[in-house]
Amino acid sequence: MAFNLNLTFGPKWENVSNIRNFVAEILSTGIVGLDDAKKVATASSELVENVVKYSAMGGAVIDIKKDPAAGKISLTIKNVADIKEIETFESIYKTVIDGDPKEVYKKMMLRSFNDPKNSQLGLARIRYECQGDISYAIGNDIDIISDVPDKDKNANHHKLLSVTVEIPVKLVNE
Amino acid sequence: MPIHIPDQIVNKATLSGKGDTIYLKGEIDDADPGVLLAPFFDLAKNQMDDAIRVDFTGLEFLNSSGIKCIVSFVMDKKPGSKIIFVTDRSKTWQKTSLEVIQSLDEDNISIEE
Repeated sequence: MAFNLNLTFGPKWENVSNIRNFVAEILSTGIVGLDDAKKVATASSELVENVVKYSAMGGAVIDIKKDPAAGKISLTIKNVADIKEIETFESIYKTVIDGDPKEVYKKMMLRSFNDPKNSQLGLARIRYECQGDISYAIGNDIDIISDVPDKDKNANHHKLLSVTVEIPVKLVNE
Repeated sequence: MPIHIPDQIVNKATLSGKGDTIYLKGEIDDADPGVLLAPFFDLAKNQMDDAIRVDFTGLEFLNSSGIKCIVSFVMDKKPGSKIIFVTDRSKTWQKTSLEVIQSLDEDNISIEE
């Protein structure tokens, strides 16, 4: 059976664990196995953390879909971000997207040790620990995010960042 | 000198130390877990002998900022000292992330289940 969950949330820190726990609980009710539910929940937690830390304004939307035919869960998160934050995201993305996921995660761990402030491990963790295939898109339609003030004025400096993670899951008996 | 760190309860996490082991329990997903973990690991390093066991079995979740703290702990350990991660392999993050941390210094970090 297909599954689709769409949540709109405010960029509050409490929502990181709220969404992680909600995703784990709802997916483990027969939608996927427990291990797969934890993998998707971990990926959602890392993505929501990024949004809460770097979301420039307004809320965010998370969309979770299960495609039984493809044997995977697709997790998409959209938020409005400052162009500079998007450039930072793209820089990290380019660093982690190629190569053996375990080696990339290790490389990013070593890099995090030399960075006194940021971990920047989230995407590398999603690739290795959650076996996530990550892609992203940048758009101008910031209107789809609620509570963005002065949308016309902010459109020059802000874009819609949409990050998608596809995670392979085992199908459970339904 | 045996380690003695009384329970430190912060948000959803409990940290403590006894004998040759430090314990991390609950969930660590703070925005900056270094505020909690860095002083705890400093205490442990000051009190430990040549080896320390780090018991993660009761730690349900650790965010990537917390993983950075573990990386800093193992990279900054006393030269030649040994670290043993005590893990619960049923917790996916422990199976994957701690295995990668161990690979940063395989001669001095081991994993026990």
